Amino acid sequence: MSRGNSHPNLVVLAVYKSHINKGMWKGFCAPYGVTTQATTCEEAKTHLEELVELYEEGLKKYNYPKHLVFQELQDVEDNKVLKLVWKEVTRTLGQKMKEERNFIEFTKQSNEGSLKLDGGIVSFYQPSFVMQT
Amino acid sequence: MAVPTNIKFKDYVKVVKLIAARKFDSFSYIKKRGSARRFDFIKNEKPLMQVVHEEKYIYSKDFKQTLEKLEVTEEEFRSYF
Repeated sequence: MSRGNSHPNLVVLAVYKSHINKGMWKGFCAPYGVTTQATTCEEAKTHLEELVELYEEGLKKYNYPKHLVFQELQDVEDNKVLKLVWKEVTRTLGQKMKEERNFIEFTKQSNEGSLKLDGGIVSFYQPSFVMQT
Repeated sequence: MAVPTNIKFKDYVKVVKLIAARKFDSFSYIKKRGSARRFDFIKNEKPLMQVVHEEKYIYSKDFKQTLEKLEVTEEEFRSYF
């Protein structure tokens, strides 16, 4: 792989009710910087999953260039939520690491999960290209 | 704030195609699952991508990102209508 290409270790998708844009549900995917918005949580989740799938197809097509893989979120509210989400994700993964005594066994596990956060939905996963060892 | 613009999605796509044809070496518009759509822009072998949801009107947040990718102002973009 060339220096300009890289795979993310973890991908996070989050959908939350916006406090700024009343009545709207917003969603984002980090580190890709993909975002969406909808009037219901379920709709935002579906939109986001479809967008991320299409984005990952593009990443594969161009062999994961860093400038497309790692994109900052532009929205202030998305960034605030990402900080909260990140705390929860690290807590969940940290717990999994504590529970698994064997390092090799831990690395074999699919480190994915989902959690509820303030009425919204958060899911995280290691992309399949990372899982292939 | 993310709100729909007054630009219809089909008009938005037409203008993006026009500008991309002038500014980029190659361009593709990919329609796939559901209403997710992807623009691929390539200049000097460097790819840029944007994914958007097809709605009746383009959302302001997506529109702003498109302007950045195309390196045009809103006025320039609207001048194509």
